[in-house]
Amino acid sequence: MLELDLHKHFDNFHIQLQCSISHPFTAIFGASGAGKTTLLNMIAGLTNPNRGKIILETKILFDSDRGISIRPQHRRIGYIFQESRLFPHMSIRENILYGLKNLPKSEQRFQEKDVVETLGIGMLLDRTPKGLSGGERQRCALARALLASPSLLLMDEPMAALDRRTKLQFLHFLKQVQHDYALPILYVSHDVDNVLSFADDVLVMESGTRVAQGKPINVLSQTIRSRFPKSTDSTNYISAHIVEHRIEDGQSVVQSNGVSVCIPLIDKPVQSHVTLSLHTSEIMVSLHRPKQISARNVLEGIVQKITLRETRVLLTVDVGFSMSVDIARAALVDLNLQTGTTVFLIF
Amino acid sequence: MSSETHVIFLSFQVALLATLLILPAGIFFGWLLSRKQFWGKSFLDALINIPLVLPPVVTGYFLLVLLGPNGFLGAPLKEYLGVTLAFSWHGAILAGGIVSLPLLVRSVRVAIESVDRGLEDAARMLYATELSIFRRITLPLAIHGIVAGTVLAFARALGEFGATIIFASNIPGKTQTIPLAIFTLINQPGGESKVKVLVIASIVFAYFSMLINEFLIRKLHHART
Repeated sequence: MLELDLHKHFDNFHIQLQCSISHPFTAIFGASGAGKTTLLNMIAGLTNPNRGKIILETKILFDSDRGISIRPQHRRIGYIFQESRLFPHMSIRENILYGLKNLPKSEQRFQEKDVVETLGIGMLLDRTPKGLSGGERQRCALARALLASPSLLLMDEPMAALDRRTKLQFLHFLKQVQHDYALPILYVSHDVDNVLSFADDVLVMESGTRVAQGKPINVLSQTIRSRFPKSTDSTNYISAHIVEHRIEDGQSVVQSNGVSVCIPLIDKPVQSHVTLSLHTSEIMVSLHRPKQISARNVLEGIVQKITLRETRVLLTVDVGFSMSVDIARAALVDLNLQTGTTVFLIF
Repeated sequence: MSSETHVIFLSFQVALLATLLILPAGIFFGWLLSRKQFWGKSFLDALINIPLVLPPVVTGYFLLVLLGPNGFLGAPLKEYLGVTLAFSWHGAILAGGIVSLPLLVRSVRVAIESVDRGLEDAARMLYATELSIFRRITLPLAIHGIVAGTVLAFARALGEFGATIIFASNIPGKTQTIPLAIFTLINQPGGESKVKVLVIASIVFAYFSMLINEFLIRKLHHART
């Protein structure tokens, strides 16, 4: 879908990236300063590489050897920026129709009515961007980009300024958009949870180069954990598939390495793949299998590793797959935990 | 019409036409200096701003050398087109315009620089042409600053003395604007009462121009937040 060979030099920073992006939802992950936004800007045509190639489908957007550099206006790429960038002097309706009006009728793929409905912005149309919340602004920016019928959508941390609840709501809309409009999305993020819940493919960047690319769960366990410990060491990511839905209990059962885990009911078919994220501090440890307990999951496992921290302890427990658990130092002493101890994890 | 009223009316006409004359150039250079990187940008910037610091009399002298009856451009203009700018009403307009241009360019530049380039990039990603971006995004968002600069340029043209007296001369009823009339009357016995009228008129115009300018700049900043 997208072939990249990019070389861009700044005073004390270089971007050197060769890669191919072929999945409908690819996340670009990396710490700030890794060159993620510059990468998006180069694909969009807002910044030009010093040399290299950018090919989208069969269209050459940039080729330094052949002196080709298509202007951003002619690339047919949508761009959602971190800070919505709605035009402050126009109403929301004028904003969302801005790109659509610059497009010949025959090339307009999406209807204003449908997009407005999908994103739930009907009641905002006559307002100006000024009084809108962060989430509303981003939904309007998404509507504006969609109505311009792009063949690729770039998103530069569009949820960075949103609170957790609005983030989930925006993600819901984004999923809906991807489902309804089958639009390839390239999504820059520094938030591992977002990457996992969405992406089919993750490209990890560091200091302007690619350090890993592949399925999120694989890349996460191999690369992100070792390179960006801060962003992952407090969360367990478990790759699993759905076994059954217990609708009357409001629960779904998933399995990973033969171990069953109950989760709140989700709207995905049986057998489909899910990635669970479980915070290390959300898990309790017991030496005996507890009885009459409200928690739905009790997994038996063996302590593999004990990592001492300032006031806390991180246990690595093998329950069929590896899980990290954060406990207090006092708990380590009270339970007399050692490597090899059998424990029960409760969550 | 009394002679003072005529002087005020003429000054208004000259200043208004001078402002309109430089408005397209002022917007173009303001945009060019704020948005484009090119070789010789600093030289162009300095050239446009020279009249701001040069004694206006010197600006008038250069205009005379360039566009006077025997000037580099003035002689062919007169010969082929029959146009004489020096010592005429048109000359007063040109002199007022040249000295006001730097103020207009500066205001436009600041106004355009205050417009978030990110909005222009967003418009680019929505297939807008560069001209359309300027017309529909940059200009509306900078308009208060541009109008404020225009008012400032108008006020400056109204008060122009040095370049006008050299290039357009001080011809009553033709090129004699308020400052020139004050200069003449102050040297005439019994001219004080007329001077007072013109001085008061000058102060009123200047004060209101600055008031409008300040109001529009506030609006420009308000639109940003």
